[in-house]
Amino acid sequence: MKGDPLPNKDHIARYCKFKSLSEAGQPLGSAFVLREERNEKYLSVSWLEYFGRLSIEELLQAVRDHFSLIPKKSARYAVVNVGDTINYVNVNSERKIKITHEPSNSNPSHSGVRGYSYEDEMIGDLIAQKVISIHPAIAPR
Amino acid sequence: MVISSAEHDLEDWEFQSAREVCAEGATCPNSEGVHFVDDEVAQGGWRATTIRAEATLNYDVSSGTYQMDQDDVEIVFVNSPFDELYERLPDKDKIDRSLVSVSQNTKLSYAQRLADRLRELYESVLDDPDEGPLTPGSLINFIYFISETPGLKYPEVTLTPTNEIRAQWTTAPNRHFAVSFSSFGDARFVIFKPGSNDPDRIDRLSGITAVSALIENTKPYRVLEWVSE
Repeated sequence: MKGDPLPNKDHIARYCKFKSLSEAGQPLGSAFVLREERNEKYLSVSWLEYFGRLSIEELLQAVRDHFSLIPKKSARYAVVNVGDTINYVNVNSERKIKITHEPSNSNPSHSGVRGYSYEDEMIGDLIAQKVISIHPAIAPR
Repeated sequence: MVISSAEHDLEDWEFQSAREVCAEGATCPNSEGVHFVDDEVAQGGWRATTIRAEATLNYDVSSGTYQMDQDDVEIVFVNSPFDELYERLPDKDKIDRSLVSVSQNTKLSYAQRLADRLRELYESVLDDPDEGPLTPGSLINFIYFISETPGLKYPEVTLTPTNEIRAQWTTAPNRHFAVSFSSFGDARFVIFKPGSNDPDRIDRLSGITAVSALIENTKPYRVLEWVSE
């Protein structure tokens, strides 16, 4: 249901543009900062396990299939664990973040990382430290 | 009442950009003679004739400001006539010229690599219809910082959501220094460092300061230990 917290054991994927990746392709803090000009209330992510008990590659493909923008070849998906990320940020900052389900018409797995603002660049850096895997935004042929 | 009469050495790209704008019909400063230092660098000068008060202004190269000699009166000018001309350039030209200045910066051992990286980021947002342009003022402030801080290691550079430059130096989870450069001269920084009393702990802090005061204000956190070569 909209607004429900995601299970701690589950995972989310964040679409990271080229401009937020290191030269080695690692998502850095910029990838997890909110956009001031759009007055974003949460960081948009996709909930992987929404699509069921599939392999990581099948889950990622489901996320790609529901992505609402035209993906760029140079972009990446960064995957983090829900519970680890919430715990890490909340223990090491003054913010109390949560990750909730925010389904949209085009993306039923759409979710949001809430509890911080565009000014909290440190939160972006903390989330970047919890990335466990990185995947191409466009599936390799 | 003419208060300032100072010469300011200009690098070739800076002088040429001013001349190009002048050629388009803008009001030109009183430029002094130009001479070539070597094949790549020319020096020109301008003579400022700003009427404000009776005093002499000195140009401080390190801060890029003009300051009066007298202690009791202080008027700080940030912009030279050439800065004003530079401001009239289209953003694309400002960025192109800034990137050329990085590639030719003899203070940076990684000048070309950094210029290539910045161009790559610039072009990545240019190609994206969902994106605004790279912010020229942020780029200029970043270049100022990295040029005027001797011995900095090569940084990882990314763009923030608003396309400001964000540079970071991270050698371990507890040795992290990241700085976002605003267009207006502010630097927003994040530091992860070993705990002051317990090195097994990680101190995490963030703040905002002027770009020109960034190193001074973060010195107590000993960031130079892992940021410097």
